[in-house]
Amino acid sequence: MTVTVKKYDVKENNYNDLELNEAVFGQTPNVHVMHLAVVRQMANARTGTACTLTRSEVRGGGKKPWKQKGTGRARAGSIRSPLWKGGGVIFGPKPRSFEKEMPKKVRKLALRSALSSEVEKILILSHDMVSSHKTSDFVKLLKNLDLDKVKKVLIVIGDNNNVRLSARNLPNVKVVYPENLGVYDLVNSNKVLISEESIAVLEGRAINA
Amino acid sequence: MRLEDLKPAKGATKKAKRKGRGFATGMGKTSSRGNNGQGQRSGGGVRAGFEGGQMPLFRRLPKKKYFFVVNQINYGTVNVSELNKYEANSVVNFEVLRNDRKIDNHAQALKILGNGELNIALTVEAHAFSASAIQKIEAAGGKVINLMQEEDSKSDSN
Repeated sequence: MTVTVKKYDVKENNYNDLELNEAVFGQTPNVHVMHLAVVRQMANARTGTACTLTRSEVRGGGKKPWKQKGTGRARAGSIRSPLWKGGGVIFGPKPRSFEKEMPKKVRKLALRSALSSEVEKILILSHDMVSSHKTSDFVKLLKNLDLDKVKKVLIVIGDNNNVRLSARNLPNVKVVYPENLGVYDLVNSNKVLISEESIAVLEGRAINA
Repeated sequence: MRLEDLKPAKGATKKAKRKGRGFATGMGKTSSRGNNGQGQRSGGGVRAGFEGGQMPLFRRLPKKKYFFVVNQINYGTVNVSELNKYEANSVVNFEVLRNDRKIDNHAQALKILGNGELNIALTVEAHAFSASAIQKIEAAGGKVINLMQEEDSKSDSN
């Protein structure tokens, strides 16, 4: 089985076939591992900076509010007790890391799986797909590709300011570097445009060294 | 495929026990903690090996040193990828690799491992081989001589 995808030539305005590496784009996807990768990706994206003050960290509260016995009131040792208004928080969030680990080979398997399972979404473009940094130019390109109504378009491309600047204000387009492409973006998009130069980077990332 | 189609493989996840959610669950009243005492408290229970204050087994028995493997063999390991520099059809053995500093001075025996590629035919003498090393050496047209097996067969015949 060979893996063939469409390649769009911007200048000629026509489609050609391009064969892709079967070891990367033609594998049976491992859905379990893809799930792990997405869970990891989303967990690692958390900053984990939520923080509350416990009773010992809230300012004040050092003095016993009233004596232990004889007042007729409930016993109280601190005005910052969690039961009091303005008191500390019981078991509140504290800064912590949500990072999950994943063996390198499994990460590569996840990327291979995602590229293979989403291969129908892939369209290859040349690096110079837009000629200027104007958003109108990019919209024109999407219209040519019949993608202007597609909800989530993902673009995988290396350093290219024209694409980055012209696409960044479009709500339905996301641009990522091939080095940063993850399972989440691949699965969560309706169309994936990959620049020809990025393919080599993706292959390098997806195959066990 | 969509994000919601991603899920763990069957059997990979376990449902959490919902303790204290009614008598009929069997984990109701005491939440599977039994009646009263240290083990019922959060974080309760004694440390591993603690026998209630009685001198525990691991302290009752004397400490013993020197539980080592008798007649342990310290293998020096070399991958087949490192053998490409030798002359084709030559013999590669412990002494050759020792002289080339592929194995360190502590090694008493040689094991060939299968990482990387081997492009030339070699006669490799060693005390142990990994399965992939044997396969790669023989695929390259070489020969594998297992010194351990030869010693064994010698002692058998005696």
